[in-house]
Amino acid sequence: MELSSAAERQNFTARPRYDATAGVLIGSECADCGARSWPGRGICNRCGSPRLEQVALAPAGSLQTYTTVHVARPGLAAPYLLGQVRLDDGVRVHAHLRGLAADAHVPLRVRLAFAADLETVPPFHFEPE
Amino acid sequence: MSTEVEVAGVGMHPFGRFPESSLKDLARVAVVRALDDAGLGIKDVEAVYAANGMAGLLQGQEQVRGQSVLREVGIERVPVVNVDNACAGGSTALRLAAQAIALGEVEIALVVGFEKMFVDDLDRSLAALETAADLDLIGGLGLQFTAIYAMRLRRILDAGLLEHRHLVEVTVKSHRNGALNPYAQHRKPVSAAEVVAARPIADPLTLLMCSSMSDGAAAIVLARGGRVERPERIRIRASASTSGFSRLDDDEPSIGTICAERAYARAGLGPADVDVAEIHDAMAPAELLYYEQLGFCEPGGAGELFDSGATAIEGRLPVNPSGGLSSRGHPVGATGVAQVVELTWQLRGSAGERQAKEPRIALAQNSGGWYEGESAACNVHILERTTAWS
Repeated sequence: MELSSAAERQNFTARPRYDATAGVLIGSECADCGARSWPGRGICNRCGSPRLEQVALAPAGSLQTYTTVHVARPGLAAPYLLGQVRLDDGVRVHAHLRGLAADAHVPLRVRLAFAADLETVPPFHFEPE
Repeated sequence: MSTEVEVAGVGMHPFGRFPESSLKDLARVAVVRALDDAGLGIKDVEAVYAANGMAGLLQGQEQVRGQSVLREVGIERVPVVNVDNACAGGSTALRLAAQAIALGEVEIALVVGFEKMFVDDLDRSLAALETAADLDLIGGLGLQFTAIYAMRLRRILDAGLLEHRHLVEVTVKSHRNGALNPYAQHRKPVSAAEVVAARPIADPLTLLMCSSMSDGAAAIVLARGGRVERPERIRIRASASTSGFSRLDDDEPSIGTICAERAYARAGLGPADVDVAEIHDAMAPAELLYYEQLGFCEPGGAGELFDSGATAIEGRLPVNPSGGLSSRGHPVGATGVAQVVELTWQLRGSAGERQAKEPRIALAQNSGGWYEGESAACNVHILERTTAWS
């Protein structure tokens, strides 16, 4: 497939980033090298191929690290929990965490969860399995 | 590099909180000091590389920042390149200036970094800092840089590769060094107990471990080798640059490691040759992470290297004798320039109470922004004193 086909790809903002009903994030997968990415890309970051397909990502993974943030931001009361998750298909995602024990030790299995109100920003978080 | 590039002059405006000084004032002081140090005038400057991160959001000067800020010192007609690379902007400007000289296009180039982060509204400053990442990925997360470093450290603590006391003790070292630096923002030594008891910011980081908002400027005059006479000659032996990437595998080398290896290869040197280093400790304990990325220790050996005392000013490899970002201060666009200003003073032997013992090879590592857990940009420069120590 020609690189120029990537110029015709659906606009970034028009592509789905998640499917709350299915409980998954939507990203891209390279048909040539298999690399996955979230959010999806227009061209593969690993091999440069334009042959990317939209794909549902693994809904669970390993919490690699996290922190409790004590400095509030507008719309975000402190303390809040931030984590880095390696999904089971290899994609690294950063997100809010809920339900973590105060003495949680990483790595730790976590699963994607969505807010009841999808207008929440961001609309998803991870919690222990 | 085809033509030798030398550091002809350096200068700084102190880092700290300067409500009465605008960007023009901060930059004027740094530029005048650097030119004076080189024995040159403003009209000797043939090209300018100006680094700034946030004047667009914080002062409203989104475009032509260099031309606007340097109008104050009479810079005009010569090419001005405005550089942003988040916290790595200063070293990116330095690299571009060195390339212009190496290409033979100019003989004298001015590198200047300036930043004014205190705007009497902490939320505005924090929001500006958070734009050093892809907003499509971090929108609404509250991914503050303190949290980014906290996560990097937690992982290593939980893996048992560092102890919490290392985070505390390296912070004590940072403040001890900063107290010796007249240009530093934080000039008060702190005790381990004070570091532990300080307000929590993002676990495991407390307030005293973190760099704060800062105003400041730093400048360097680069010259073609031999163009400016100096008692001690210092050249840029290598410059390397990388940008962030998605790590699909955690065993892949980090951007910092890749950048350092590239710089060592270009210099024909290795980590064991480095006599003094200024590294990107936006939070004091980050110094420990970079020991490994820069090859100063084996994987997992950061705590042991620190415990040996090697990285103290009197050690065999002093790291951040200036106090680093966390104590000297971290006015974003100025930081990468200030690192090389400090290393120049160290290589000249003019660093006063914080002087390392007769260094010949110096390394600066400057990182910026956030890219899916990694830095968005990283630059490593290696400097060499070519004049023998008498």
